[in-house]
Amino acid sequence: MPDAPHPVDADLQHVLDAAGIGVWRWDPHAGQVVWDANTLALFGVESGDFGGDFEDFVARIHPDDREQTIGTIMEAAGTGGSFRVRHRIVVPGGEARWVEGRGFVQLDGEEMAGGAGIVYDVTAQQHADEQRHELEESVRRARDETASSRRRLLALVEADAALAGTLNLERLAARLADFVIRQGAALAVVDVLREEATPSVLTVARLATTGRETVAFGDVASAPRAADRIAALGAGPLRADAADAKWWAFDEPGHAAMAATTPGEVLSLPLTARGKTVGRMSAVAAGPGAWSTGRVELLQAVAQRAGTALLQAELYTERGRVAAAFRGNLVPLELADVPGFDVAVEYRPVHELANLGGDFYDVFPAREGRWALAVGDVCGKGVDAAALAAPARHSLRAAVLAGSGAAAALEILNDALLLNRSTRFLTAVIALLDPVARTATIAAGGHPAPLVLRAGGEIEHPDAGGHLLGVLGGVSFREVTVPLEPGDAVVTFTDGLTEARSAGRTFGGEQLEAALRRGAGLPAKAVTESVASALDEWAGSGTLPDDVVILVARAAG
Amino acid sequence: MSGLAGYLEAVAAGDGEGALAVALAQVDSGIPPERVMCDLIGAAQVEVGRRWEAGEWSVAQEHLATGIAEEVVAVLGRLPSEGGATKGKVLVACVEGEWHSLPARITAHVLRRSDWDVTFVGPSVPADQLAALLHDVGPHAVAVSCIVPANLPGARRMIETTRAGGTPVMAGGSGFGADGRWARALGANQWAPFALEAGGVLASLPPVTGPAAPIDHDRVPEHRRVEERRPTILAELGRHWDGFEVSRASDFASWALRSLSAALLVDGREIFDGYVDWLSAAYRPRGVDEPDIALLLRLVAAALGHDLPTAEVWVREAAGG
Repeated sequence: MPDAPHPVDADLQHVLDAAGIGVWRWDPHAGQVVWDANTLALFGVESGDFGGDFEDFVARIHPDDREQTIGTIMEAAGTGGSFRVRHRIVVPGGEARWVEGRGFVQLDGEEMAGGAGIVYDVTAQQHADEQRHELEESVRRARDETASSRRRLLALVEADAALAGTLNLERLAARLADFVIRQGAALAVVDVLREEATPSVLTVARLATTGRETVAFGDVASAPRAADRIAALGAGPLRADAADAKWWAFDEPGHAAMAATTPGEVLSLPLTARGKTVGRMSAVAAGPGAWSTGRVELLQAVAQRAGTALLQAELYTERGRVAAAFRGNLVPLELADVPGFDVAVEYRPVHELANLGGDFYDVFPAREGRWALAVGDVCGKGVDAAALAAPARHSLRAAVLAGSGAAAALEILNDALLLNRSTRFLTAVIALLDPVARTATIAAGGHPAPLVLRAGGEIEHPDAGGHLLGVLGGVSFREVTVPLEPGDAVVTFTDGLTEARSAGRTFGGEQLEAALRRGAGLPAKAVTESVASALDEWAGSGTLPDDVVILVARAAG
Repeated sequence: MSGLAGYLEAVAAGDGEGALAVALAQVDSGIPPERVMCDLIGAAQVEVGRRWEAGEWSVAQEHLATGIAEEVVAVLGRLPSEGGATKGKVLVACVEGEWHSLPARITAHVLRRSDWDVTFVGPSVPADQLAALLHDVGPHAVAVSCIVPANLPGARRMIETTRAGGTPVMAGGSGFGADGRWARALGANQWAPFALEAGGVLASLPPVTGPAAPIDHDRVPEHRRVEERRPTILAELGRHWDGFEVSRASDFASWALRSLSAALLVDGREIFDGYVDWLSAAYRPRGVDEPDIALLLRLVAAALGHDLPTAEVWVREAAGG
């Protein structure tokens, strides 16, 4: 039975006992290791069962920790000095126990002279450390996930902004493709299915990160490939290795080469709206497995939104066609050349909603070498007003072409409106220009009378007032004939001009006349520009609330 | 006689046919129509502007010359060219308040002849009209033209509107500064110094762009106040025109305030000083001398109000203190 190690004093031993700290000594010359009672208890060994040498200690270290523990001790033994180890031990009965050992090795020259140290149980601490580590790991993971879902959320917000920012089909597709490119795609293609159109599938946007050949909108040439794509993929999503995906129907010039040299992964998603497939969003990312689950989920969410946006854009396009058809009936496509006169117009329809107003104007040949200027304004705005303005314009035309004078034409228009039983009414002015007699014959119904701007800058107000049109039957209108000298101009306009209001102020007759005087003696276009720029100046950065028409005919001089 | 001299002589005589004949003769001699537009018509318009400024030509003559130039450019633009509209859609528009539309018209023709699908919107295009067109047409890019720097606030509204929808903007015209500095300051994606370079610059634009960065410097609040208050300041000034020719004085005040607003927007005092210099040069031959201009400037300074300190200093210093 080896001697027990001798603590410095009994008090210290009590402290060591209370703390559960074992003490050991090692005598290399004798090949002897001495454990005190605490150490024996820690290792679960009866005092008689301990072999008393280094080998027995080594045998009790958990096999997985053995190499590292011995290594640390031997390193200290080589140079002399202290060491610290933490390892599991094999306790008889199988209980897992973690201990920490701290000790030192003394050298005599290069020889080991002896060593001593302490050992104590750190099982609880080890478990706590492990738990803390796990907790930290899960916090880190959660933080990563939060960051990536934050990124995904931002990307979704960005996509929404891109989709909401335009109502134009092609721009929408371009922004969608651009978004997909910024999500890491090397190539993005947006195809759109079109009802009752030829071709029925169209590649609307194609962006590639290489080559900058990049955008082709409404690409009819690639329509057959787009159709292949749609036919091959149907309404389902596709995720495949680019190398074995046949649908290198993607195959625009250059893209096939890209596919051959760059391994990639294809992602193709249907764009649906109201349960129907309206198009496809396809992309190739370079590198195998390039589409992470997060990316795919994100793009799926974007594709869902894009389908609806695409449908809206189509509806908007349709609306545009309707509005354009209406507009084409409100104003001439191009001003006709009027012999002996120089004619210019400034037309500012309100730009909101349907983009349609109730103002109309016209310049057309009448009988006997005369020409007609007509300007009108249906009360109200939008499609309803435009719907009445178009036939009103044509009624005036027909009346004049049938030989009516200015006042008679307004009477006919009035009667025609009453036949409609419409609750809407309108105002109009007509001026018949006679290039030979150099006169203008003017009549107005409920409308601001035209002004005559003399070449020298004087402004006259012909007395040509009359009733609103479409309210009472049997009314007659007054017409006035004014002589025109070279350089004199007839100025017709709608009350959108003289009753334009902004911030409680009105652009009145005074401003109009000042602007007209600036244009006196100048070409008709200079007159309309002078009025339009005065109106802009007056409105500042505000917008005009109503349509504005200024139509000027100036006698050649 | 060089083409330019012959053209100017025809224009001076109000002879549109003669001017067109000079231009067509150049085309017949092998000069491409777009070069004739830029090198003949463009150069002639610069000379017309100079003659007006020097008091040699009246406003009416200048308008007549511009009318002839537009017609000649339109005829040249209709001459057949090869290819088709294959390079994408572009809107060409003058910024709000800009009535000098000839450079933009020439640019539109040059682009059309180099295979762009061009929609020319016209002079003085308000931002809301442009917004509607952006939805309707869906262009790849918008080319905005600004000739007079006082119209830069309109340019900013146009650039903001366009980029908000993801469409890139190319700026052009002397209003953006000789080196295009105001184009970048206002958020244009690119600047094209000359019409002939516009096609190359357009091709370099990204397919989709982000919104224009906000303009943020110390002068911006004053710019906003001037914009908001311009109509009321003008109305207030209108009461002080005794002794002046009213339409000329209100014209002056209107452009002074617009130049001031533009100068504040880009923090470029030289825009305002440049306006005053130009005004002095242009009005001297018309019997308005410097004391008159100084007096007008002092009236404007007094009407500004106390929360426009920078503006007031700029105007007073331009008036000579």
